[in-house]
Amino acid sequence: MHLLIPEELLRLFSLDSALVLARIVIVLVVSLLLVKLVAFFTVQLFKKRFSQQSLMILKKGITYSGVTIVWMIVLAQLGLNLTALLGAAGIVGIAVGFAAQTSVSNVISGVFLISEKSFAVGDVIRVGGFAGVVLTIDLLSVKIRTFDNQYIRLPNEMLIKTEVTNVTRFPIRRLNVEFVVRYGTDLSRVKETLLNVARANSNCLDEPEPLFVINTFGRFGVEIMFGIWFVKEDFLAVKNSIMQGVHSALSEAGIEFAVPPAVHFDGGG
Amino acid sequence: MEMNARWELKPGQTYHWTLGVLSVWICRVDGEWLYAWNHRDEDAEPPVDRLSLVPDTPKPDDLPWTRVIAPDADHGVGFAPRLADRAVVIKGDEYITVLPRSNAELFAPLPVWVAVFSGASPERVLFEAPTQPLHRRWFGNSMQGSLCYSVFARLTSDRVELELPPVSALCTIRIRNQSSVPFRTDSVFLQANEFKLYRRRDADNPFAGLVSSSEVITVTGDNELSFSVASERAKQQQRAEVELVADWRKRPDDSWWKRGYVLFQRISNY
Repeated sequence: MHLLIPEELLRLFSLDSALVLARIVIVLVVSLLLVKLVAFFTVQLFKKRFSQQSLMILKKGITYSGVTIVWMIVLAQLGLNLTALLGAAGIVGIAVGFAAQTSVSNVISGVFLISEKSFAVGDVIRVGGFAGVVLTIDLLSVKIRTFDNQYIRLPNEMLIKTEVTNVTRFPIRRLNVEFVVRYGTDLSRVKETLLNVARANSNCLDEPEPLFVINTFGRFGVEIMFGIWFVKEDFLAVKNSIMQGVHSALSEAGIEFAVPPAVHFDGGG
Repeated sequence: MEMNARWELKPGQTYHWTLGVLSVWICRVDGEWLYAWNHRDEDAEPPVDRLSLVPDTPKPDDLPWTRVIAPDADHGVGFAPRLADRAVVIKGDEYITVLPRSNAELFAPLPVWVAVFSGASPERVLFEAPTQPLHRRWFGNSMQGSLCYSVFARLTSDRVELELPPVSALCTIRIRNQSSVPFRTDSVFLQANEFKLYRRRDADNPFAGLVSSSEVITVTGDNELSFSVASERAKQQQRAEVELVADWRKRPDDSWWKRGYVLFQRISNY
């Protein structure tokens, strides 16, 4: 028994085995490099025609299929029976599936997310308490970059179950500015002042026209909503300039915001 | 008539030009061009219809220079007219109606831009600026459409009656209403970035007598429109009268499937 072990070891480290091993390493390195190159050049080829999202799916599709084929080649080189292995993988898969329900659920959710096209790479989404730009949609999770530059990983399963707002789905958006003016204010003057603010702002679109809505007669004054349309990329510029413009224009026109009356409590007694 | 206006600048000296309501300041320094532009208040100063060098007008302090690195020894600048870099929607103050199965020809002014280039080659563009402030609008619905410039002007069927604003190009619009319903509109969508710009040979300055390609609007149904740039053959026949000043910015799509910009959606104001 003691003599057999060195013999087996010798066989394992024989020249033939070393050659097989070398061949496998070369096949592995060359094939993986080839897969990477194919993925890279395919992406370069379709860069101008496809969206970021489609390119990402294309790249991942090529990489995953390529890596699977490479491993099958390697296993064949090792002399393993692939049919038996795949059969075993099915059984193992069921066992792993039970053990890794969450991961499997994430993978399936990922497939649904990609096929549903609710959002794509580069879109700005709002999920739960997070908002940011979609960086990548992977098998298990979606990665977003928040506006204060944090990297957040959102599990696909969560995105399937939760309400997701795609902020940049459509090319134009409306910014709603809501405020309350005092009772007795000339509302037609308020409207004219606000429309002038929109006209003077080059980021506001002339069409669709700005929207002026008297929301309700509130507790402290008349509640107004003023909506202006803009191209989605201009959000920050529009928000800042419009808020500033509305504030200045109303002040200059002598129109005052209504604020809840301050209550002074002197402690009683 | 010179195709473009040209000036030789002395190094370190700031020059000021006006055209329309556009004011341009340019200075040539060692290895660099410095430029700045803004639009004057139209109510305070009326627009000017020819490019003119205005001495003794310093650049406003709050208007920053833009630097262009150009280490060559060229000290000349040229000015050439251009059309807008995206589509333009001309909105009139009244609606016009084209009866079913009939055609109409309208005329409208298109805003003109100025391209400022260094040296003799119009390809070395330092910057481009519109000669009038342009607002933007969306053409289409909120889910699909295109960003355009918005211009208020009266659409007229009488070319003589049309009062062209200073520094603008005359555009002919042909509406073919092939549908069985009247086509009513107060605005037209013009693919200015796909138009060529011509100038009448008898024009007395590079920014006068400008004429653009024509547009054909075909109405095939209720709110179903297609837009295409008219064949340039007619313009070529007028070669004796006009000369090409600027080519299109975006090549018009001639395929029948994609020809023009087709919007099948219900457009609220069309």
